[in-house]
Order: sequence, then structure tokens, then C-alpha cells
Amino acid sequence: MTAPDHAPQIRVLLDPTDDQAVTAGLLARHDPLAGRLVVHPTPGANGRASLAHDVLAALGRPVDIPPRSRIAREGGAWAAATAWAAADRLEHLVVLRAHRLPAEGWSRLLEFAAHAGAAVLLVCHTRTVAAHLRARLPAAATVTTDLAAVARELDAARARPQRERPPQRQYPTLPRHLPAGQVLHYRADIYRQHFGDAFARVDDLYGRGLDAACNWLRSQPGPPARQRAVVDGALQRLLTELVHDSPSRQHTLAVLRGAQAGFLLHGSWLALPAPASLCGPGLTSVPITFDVADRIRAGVADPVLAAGVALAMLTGADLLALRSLRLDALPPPGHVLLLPFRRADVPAAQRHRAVANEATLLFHIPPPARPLIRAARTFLLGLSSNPRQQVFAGISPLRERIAETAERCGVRLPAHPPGLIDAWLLRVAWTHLDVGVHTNPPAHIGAGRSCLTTTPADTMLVTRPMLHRHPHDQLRNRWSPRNVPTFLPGLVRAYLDRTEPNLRGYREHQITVPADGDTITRRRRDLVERHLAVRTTPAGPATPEDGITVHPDIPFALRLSPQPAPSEPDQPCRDGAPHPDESRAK
Amino acid sequence: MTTWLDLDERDDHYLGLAGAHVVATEALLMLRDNLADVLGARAMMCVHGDAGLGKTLSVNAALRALAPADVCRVQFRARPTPRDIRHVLFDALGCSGSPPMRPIEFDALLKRVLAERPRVLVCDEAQWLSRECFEFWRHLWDDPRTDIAIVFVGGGDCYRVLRREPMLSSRVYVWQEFRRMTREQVLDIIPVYHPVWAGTDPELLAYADTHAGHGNFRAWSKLTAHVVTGLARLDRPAPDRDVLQWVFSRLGGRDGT
Repeated sequence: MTAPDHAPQIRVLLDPTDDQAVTAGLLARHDPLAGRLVVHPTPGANGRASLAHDVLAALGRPVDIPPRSRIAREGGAWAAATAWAAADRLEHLVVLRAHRLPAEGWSRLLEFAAHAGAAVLLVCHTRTVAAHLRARLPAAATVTTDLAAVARELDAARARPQRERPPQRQYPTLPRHLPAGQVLHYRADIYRQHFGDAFARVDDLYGRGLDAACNWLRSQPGPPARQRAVVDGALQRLLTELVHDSPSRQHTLAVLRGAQAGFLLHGSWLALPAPASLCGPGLTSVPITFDVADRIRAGVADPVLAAGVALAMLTGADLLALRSLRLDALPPPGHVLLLPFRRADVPAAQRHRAVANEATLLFHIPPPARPLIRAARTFLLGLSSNPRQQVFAGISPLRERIAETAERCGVRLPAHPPGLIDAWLLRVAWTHLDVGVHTNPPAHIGAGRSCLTTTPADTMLVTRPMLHRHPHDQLRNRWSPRNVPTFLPGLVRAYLDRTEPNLRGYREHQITVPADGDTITRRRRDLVERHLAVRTTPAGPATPEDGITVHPDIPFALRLSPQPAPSEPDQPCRDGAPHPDESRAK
Repeated sequence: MTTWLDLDERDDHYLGLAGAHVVATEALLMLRDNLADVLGARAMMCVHGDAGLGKTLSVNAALRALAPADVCRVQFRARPTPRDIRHVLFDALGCSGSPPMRPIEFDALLKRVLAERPRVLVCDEAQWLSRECFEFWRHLWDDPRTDIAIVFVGGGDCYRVLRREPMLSSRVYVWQEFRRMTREQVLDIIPVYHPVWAGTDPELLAYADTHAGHGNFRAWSKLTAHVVTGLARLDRPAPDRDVLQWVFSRLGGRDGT
């Protein structure tokens, strides 16, 4: 361990009558969550690590420590106690029956409190402090018999506001089966198939993702280089923070589709993989609540094992990925995990998958898990000063040890999680497309044109034109976002400006289209047939210049219109006839 | 070690004397009141006095009435250690599994069991306990999670042993001393104690007390057992001086005249 940073206040309270009220009064002030620890040493326990185990027990850690574990030994036990005390932000350490402790115990306690930065009160039920114990006290230590003053001081600490635990983010119950299409039609599909309360619940999550993305993008220094996909640590942190506590894939998809909509409003494209068979936060992870973190702390004394359980839960990937984790992957103050990925580390049968050869995945660590991570870091640095030491060195076999620890803690680990190569974070990319709808920096230039003005969705911003179907249009499968949709912001801006889109960036050569007609006509027809645009003017085969506007699902996805397109009719409409549900879509 | 439920009421009496009654003596009545207060306060109590004065019997009888299902009685014949007490409590409390190896684990287990419901721990022969053992009892009792009252029962210098421990002086709620019966108490109590003495001439009772009973319940119990035997052997309907002489000769080897 390193030398203490500063000397804490050290006092000895003398209680020569060994009054029960003194012990009871001090024990009543034991409150580790508030930073006050009252240690009640075990009588007749003479082992070298006994006092450290008493401190761990007072901190709420389990006392059934495996005999061969490093926590069973004196050095490991004190390192663990120090780590947990620092993570729990200990402020006051009270030790009862201190007159019965050996002098070495006093030295250990004082060293421990100094590392934790806690004030110390040693309670001696004697008339004086024994000489051999007094010799261990620093010169600044004081002796008092004024129990009332001590109690007042502890009560004053108690009167300070409790360390707040932020409320848990709530997730609504969703229908068992929901559409899972891509972002341009996701919200519309939900609306069409689950109109009413179910849509509102999904849309609540969708709006959460959209607003978070808007807020984040507003705080970014600038868009990434145009047309260049960026795997961005800050972006990974945003997305994992958004979904780390999601209870199901359905919830995760709703939030992430909303985030994609937010990116599009800012003229960017957030490429996300289809979630099926992938792993990672929100898909295979297990939410870590304060209750879960409390169970972990009560179930395991070794901070590294506690952190291992937390990391297994929040990454949602096979623990193989954590085996070589180094300490610098958990930088202070314990808010993120920087998990390296190397294709070479992947089993040969999985290496063909289309991801980067090397990458660093950044996971948001939720507040309840942070003390566990901080404790592990402090513990390891207490045993070795190497900042790149392996976190799980000596814990073998890792999978079994972590699983056993989780079971003991009564928490659930991800069931059979895939390897890290299947993490959805490896497939996330951010590309700047064009000028967005939302201004950056924000300026209020009209409803729907700046952040947070797109919600709620019941504000009709643009009068919908009459919608028509060209008789030659053959609706095909929806456009699949395999390519970067550079043209999309232009389509949306034209919709808001009530102008014709110029389709800048539209790559018709990547789409199979009939070879007839001129370029503009082909582009328009393809957009219509791919469900990206609809016709705005009645036109026959002889009038190819009929106008188009963005498909109604897209402004609905961006919360710029109150309704999506109606369900597709079985047969195309006749020339000039309005769209079947046009009146409803207005 | 004995748990309360193992004890038959007859076992309370010395030699399991048939026909003996628990007499509501002044000391027993006071003990019952004191124990009720101690149990209500989840406090500690010390019952002390010379051997044979009825301390254990009175505690057993009173607790049988006050808290029959909550009593855990432990007794040590030699100087025990905290480890011995832990193991005895482990058995007495009916803990399952193997006893933990380390004291801190052991204490955590005992505290967990002692927090489940109110308990009365009766520690007999408390004069044999060391300071370390008293520390252990105090440790259990001081823990805010446990719900226990502790009754120390001891003879000889129990009072002195417990009094010299400040931790107990400040925690023992009631100290009760058992003393020898006075002559008047003997004349009142003994005829009720056992049917063999019912209707006996007070002079004969005084004679028996002077030579064998000495105001001590255990001595009277032994005397009574011999008198019951003597009546059968000598074919007498009730105790008289001849029967007592026969008994004294067995007790002390002298005729008692």
C-alpha cells in the first residue's frame, strides 16, 4: 500500500465503567451507507486477519471467506477492507472494545483509516490508555471522556444529507411481439399494428432515445468527416448508457431506433446492426440496480470477484473477453469499461464475421456498479502498483468462479452469452450525411427544426399534400440501409420546406431499377418503390415529372408528423385517385 | 449441556425425588417477578448464592412458566473457553450443518439464529467463566440484531466473579441472591415440599433442620429421600426421632444425638 495521503482525526474515548449505553449508543450510529462504520471485534479471535475481517463484516461484506482465498490472509484482508472503505467513502471509523486489541491491531486500524480518509474513534473501556497502545497513537491523537460530544459529532454527520441514490429508470411493459424493422418505418409499423396504449409505451422509449441523441449531438464539437463512418468511444458510451438497464431486446430496440431518428434529425446516420443473435448491453446484459449491487456487496468480500460479476452482467458477453482484462481498462473514476477486442483472440470458427480486426469497446458503467469497480481497482493497486496488471489474474477458471460468486450473491448472469465478436457495439458507426433538420448549435427556427420541439408527436407541422400512386409503380421490399443514405436529410428538408427534393447522394447504381426512362424518373420511381417517397401529383405514364415527397413513415419516424402512411393497399390506385387513407393521413 | 425441552419437571429436584413439590417460596416468587422483568427488558440477570439453595430449580421452574419454548440452558463443569461456548450454543440452538471454523463466522451464525426470535440463555455455573467468556456473552447480547436475555446462575463466588467485570456490572439488570431458609421458613415450607413431612411436629422439623437440613434445599431433599426409605425399612407411618436417627447415621456416620 502507498503511504497515507493525510492524517485523519484520531481520538480515544475512555469509558471506565464499560457502560452498556455507550456501546449501544455507538452501535446505533453504525451506518455504512452514510459513511459511519462501527466495528465490534470478535471476542477470542486471535488470527492475524481477524480484525480486518471484523472491519469487512462491519462494511457489510460476508464473513464466510474461503480459507485459501487471498482475502483470508492478513494483507489481502486489509487491502480488501481498504478498497471497500474507499469505494463506500468511509468518513468515521468507530472501534469498540479497542482496549482489548493488540497494539499491532491499532497500527493496522490507523493505517486503514488514513487510507480511507476517515476519522477514528477508539473506544477503551478503561480508566487510561495502556502504554503499549498509546505508543501506537500519533502525537495529534486526543483522549476524551466526553461521550456526549462524540455523540453530537456523529449525529451531526448523520444529519448531513444521505448519499442519494438516483431513482431507477423505469421501463414500461411492452407487447410480447413488436415489429423490428429499420428506423425509417419502425415507429410507423408500431403505430399501425399497436395503435393506442402499446404504441404510447413504445413511443415513450423511442422519445427517450431520440432526445438523448439530440442532446448528445448538440454537445459534440462537430460532425465527423462526411461520408466516413466513425466508431466513436463517446458514441458507444451514449448508446450503452441508453440501454444498459433495458429489460428486453424490445425495449432496447425502441430506445435505439429513437436514437437513430435523433441522429437523422441532425443530418447524421447511425448505423446499427439488426439485434437478432447479437450480444451486448440491452440485448444479453442484465441490469445492475442498486439492489443488485447491494446483493453483490453482501455476497462477496473479494472486490475483484464482485467487479467480475458486475462486468459479466453489464457486458452481456462471454467471460472469455474479460480473461485478459488489464487494470487500465477500468480508468478512474470507474464510469467506463474499455474492453479491447482482437479478432486473433476469437475462436477460429467465428473469425470470419464482418467486424473490425481490432477495436476498443466502451461500456457505460451504471452508478450502482461503480463502487464495485472502484473497489476492485483500489484493491489491486493495494496489492501491486502495476497499473497494467491483469484484473483477473489468479482467478481460475474465470467462468466458474464468477458464476459461483453470482450464485452466492443471488444475482443472475447473462445466460450463455455469445462471444465479444458478436457484440452489437462492434457494428455501430456514425456517418455525417448532410445538413440536418435540427440546427447545430441550436436556434429556434420553427417547430420541428430544433431539438426537443419534435415531441410530443401530436403537432402537425406540415400540411400533407395529396398522395398518389403511379400505375407503373411496383412496390418492392423496403429500402435496406446497407448503404449510407446521404439523400435522406435532403428528402426530409424538402418535405419541411415544401420543395422538391434534389436527391443529392442518391445512388441508383446500387439499386436494381428498370432501365427505362430518364435518370430523374428512375430515381423517383425507385424511391417510391422502395418505400422512401410517395408521389404528390397525379400523373400518368406520359408525365414522368410528377412530384414526390418523403414517404410519410419517415417524418413520422422523426416525429415531424402525427401519423404515418396508412397500411399499403392490396392493389395500386388508379391514376389520379387519392391514397385510400388520405383523409386520415392529412 | 441441556436444552430446556429436554428437562422434565422432576429433573428439577435433586435426585429426582418422587412426590416433591416446587414450593412457592419467597425467593422463588421474587425470582419469577425478576425474570419477568428481565425477559421483558431483554436484559441480563445474575442469580447467585451457595450451592443447594434452589437457584437452578427456581430458575427452571420460573422460566417453565414464563417462556417455556424460548429457553436455552447451558452448563459447564470445567473452565470453558469462548470456543466451548460457541459449540455448546451451536448444539443447544439446533443449528444445522457443521460448526464454522472461524470465530467470526461462528458468531455471525449464532447471531443470525439469536435474531430469529426472543430467547433466554441460561448459563449455569457461571462462576467458572473467564473474562474472555463473559466478553463473548456480552458480544452476543450487545449486538443490536440479537433478541436475547441472559441469566447467569452460579454458586460460590459467582457474585464476586461477575461483579469484578465492569462490562457485566453495567449490564446486569437484576442481581438476586439465594439464602438459606430461616427456621420459620423451614417450618412453613418443608411440610408443603413433600407429603412425608405433612403434619410433622414442628419440633421434629427443627430437630431435622438443625442436624441435617441446615436451611438448605438440597440437604432437605437428600434428607427427605432417606426418610422415605427409612419409613419403609423401619415400617413407620410417619417420621419420628428414630427414623431421623437412622437417616442421620447414613448421612453423617453419627447418630445425631
